[in-house]
Amino acid sequence: MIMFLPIIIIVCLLVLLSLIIFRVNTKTKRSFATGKTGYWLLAGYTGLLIAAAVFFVFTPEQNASSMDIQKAEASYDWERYEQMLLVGDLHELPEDWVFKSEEWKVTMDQLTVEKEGEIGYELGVYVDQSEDYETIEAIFFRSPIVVRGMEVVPEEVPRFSLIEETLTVQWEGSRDIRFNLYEPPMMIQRFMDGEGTGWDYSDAKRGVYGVYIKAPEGLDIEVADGSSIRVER
Amino acid sequence: MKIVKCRDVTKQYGKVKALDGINLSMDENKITGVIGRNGAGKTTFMKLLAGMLKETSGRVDVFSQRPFNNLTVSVNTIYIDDQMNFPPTLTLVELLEEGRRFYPNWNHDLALGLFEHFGFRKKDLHKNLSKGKESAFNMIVGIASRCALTIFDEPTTGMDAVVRKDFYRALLKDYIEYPRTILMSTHYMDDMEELFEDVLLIDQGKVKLHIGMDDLRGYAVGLSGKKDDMLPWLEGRNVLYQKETGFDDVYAVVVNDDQQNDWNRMGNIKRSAVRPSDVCVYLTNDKGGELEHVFRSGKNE
Amino acid sequence: MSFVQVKTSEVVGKQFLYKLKSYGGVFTSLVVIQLLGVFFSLSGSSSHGTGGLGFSFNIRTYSADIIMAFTIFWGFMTALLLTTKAYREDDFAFVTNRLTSNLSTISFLVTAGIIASLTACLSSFLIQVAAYIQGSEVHMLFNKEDMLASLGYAAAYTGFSILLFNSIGYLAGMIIQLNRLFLFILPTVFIGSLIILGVNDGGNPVAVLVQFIYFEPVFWLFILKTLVLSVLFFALAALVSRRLEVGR
Repeated sequence: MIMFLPIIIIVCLLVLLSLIIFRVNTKTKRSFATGKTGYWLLAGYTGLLIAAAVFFVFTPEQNASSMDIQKAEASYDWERYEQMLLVGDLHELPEDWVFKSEEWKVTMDQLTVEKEGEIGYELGVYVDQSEDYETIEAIFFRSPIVVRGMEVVPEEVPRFSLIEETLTVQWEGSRDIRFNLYEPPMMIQRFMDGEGTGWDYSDAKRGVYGVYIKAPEGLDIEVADGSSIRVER
Repeated sequence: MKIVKCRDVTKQYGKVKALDGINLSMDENKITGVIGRNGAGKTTFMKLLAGMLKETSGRVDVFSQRPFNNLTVSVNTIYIDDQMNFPPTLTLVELLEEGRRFYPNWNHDLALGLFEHFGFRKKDLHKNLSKGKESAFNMIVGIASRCALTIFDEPTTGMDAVVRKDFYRALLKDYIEYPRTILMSTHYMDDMEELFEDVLLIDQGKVKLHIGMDDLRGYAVGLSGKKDDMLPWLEGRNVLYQKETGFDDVYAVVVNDDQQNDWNRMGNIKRSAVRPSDVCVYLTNDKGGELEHVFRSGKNE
Repeated sequence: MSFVQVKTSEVVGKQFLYKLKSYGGVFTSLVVIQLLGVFFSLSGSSSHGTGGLGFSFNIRTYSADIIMAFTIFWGFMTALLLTTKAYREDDFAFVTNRLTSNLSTISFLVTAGIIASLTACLSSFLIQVAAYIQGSEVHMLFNKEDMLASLGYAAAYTGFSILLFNSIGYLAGMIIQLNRLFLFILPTVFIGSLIILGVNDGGNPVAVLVQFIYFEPVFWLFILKTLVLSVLFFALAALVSRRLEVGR
């Protein structure tokens, strides 16, 4: 039954359209001036369209061509970064990927890391313990989100708070990142090769992000829901 | 050359026969009046000739070809009535231009001249014209087209007397300069006599008369006299009409059977000519009586 | 009096010009329909997706689909309209026969269809501009190269679809002119088969037809199929029209 709804909507729309067409075209006694109105309208409309086309051609390139997208994406070697993180080479990451870092003195034997907030569970926690560290440091890093070769950098950062034996990483709310996308008409897409047509969530590369915790060796660190990654050098 | 030939032409709509067994032929380059009452079949006949309708049975030949769906007949024929399908989006002068493009014999100077004479404005739209003006415009198109077969179906509808007279004069003048076959149907029978060379009288889908105007003039004769004198004369004659004109007097119209001798013996009976238009009325009046009967119904008569 | 002969091709040419001049109204409805389509497309279609940490994606997709669909429908209605008495009998004011009348009307439809498909494609620029203006803190993901490539396809696709629907409308119109009853019979049959389409995939003539044309992946085949069908429908319509008289 629900399937009929779109059909009904379409039929109603068609009826509306046909009424419009008939009213405009039917030879009623009271039609607009001469038959040349149609052509004037057409001329004006075409002018408008051409102006829009010109505008479009001269707008700054918002997004590169398919080739460029591939190049841009290729320049981000996500796997390499992940590897780097696993062995503790945080400093190898580009500087502006590090958003926030906080330090605390070590006053406890045991530390529980908790994640709170909406998408907390997605957040990866890297735990890096070594003798060189004297304090507990929590670092939030994030690579830009690459959407079709374009970089988007959300600015939200989590809140760190260390109370007694619990380090809480908290996310508050999230922001919408909005994109306007133009897609070739559905019916045409079949004919094209499918490159760059349509939106696919896989088009958005979220990159790497997470919380990197540096702590001294002796500390017993536990991450609340167990999903942590121990860094091994 | 016989420009039009009809052989047993019948046009039927469901059970109704608009035309029933028409047999006739017409010579070229004549002005023929098509006369008849409303619904007699005049329009049907003329539309058949113009190729707008197709005969149900029988055969219509125009220029020795069947006119329906025929390009050659179409370019040499024009049919003018009060419902000409001009697109409402073209102005009057644009319509004349189209006429010029389509019809090879079109006389544009004549068209423009008449256009101005009758007071039209170039940018007007056809659908905004009054009835009389519309008829005048259509008439201009008809005359200027100079088609070999020009058909006018009640072209003077809505025209005032002055315009009508002008129309006839224009038509005749151009006809003389550029002869063609013209068919015209009209209710204004009085104008008939100035215009038509031939007359085609159609009644109830059949051809009642198809003769030259001169013959039509002498077709019938009017007799008036005392009842007693008249009665013997009327017997055995084709009486088209009779009426009591006074206490004892009778007026009758009789088909002229050309018996000159009899006239000399008529004595008290007066003869008078009968106008062609009246002849047509009498011939198509199937009631036989006259309107007075309706009003006299109260009295014993 | 001089008797003239005339060639069919001449008359078709004259009629075509005549119709170009007098049928300007169809372009009025075209512009109205397309602007309406643009209007409906202005807000795009939104989809919301999970993003990741602290953000979610909100994608607004704009496309010219609606405009194309409206235009194709316009093609159908216009062809249908031109078979009605008022338009059909325009020719009889001057010189015509059934063949020239049909040929010149079809030529007009084709011409109008070409213009319509071009404007439909260009209208996508209009949408882009609208999207551009609407986006303040929005990122634009317009890929110029893709878009221009799609224009070519879109124009041809729309054009041939319009042609096809012209022919369907013309044929339907002629059939209806033949007998008023068809005005009810045809839509009923059509809607009936649509419903059956929903219930029973395939095995239904309309469904088969739609699949045959519209799910065709190869572009050139699509054009070929559309062209052949259009010619077929137009020819059928011309045959039907031969039985029609004037003024009755």
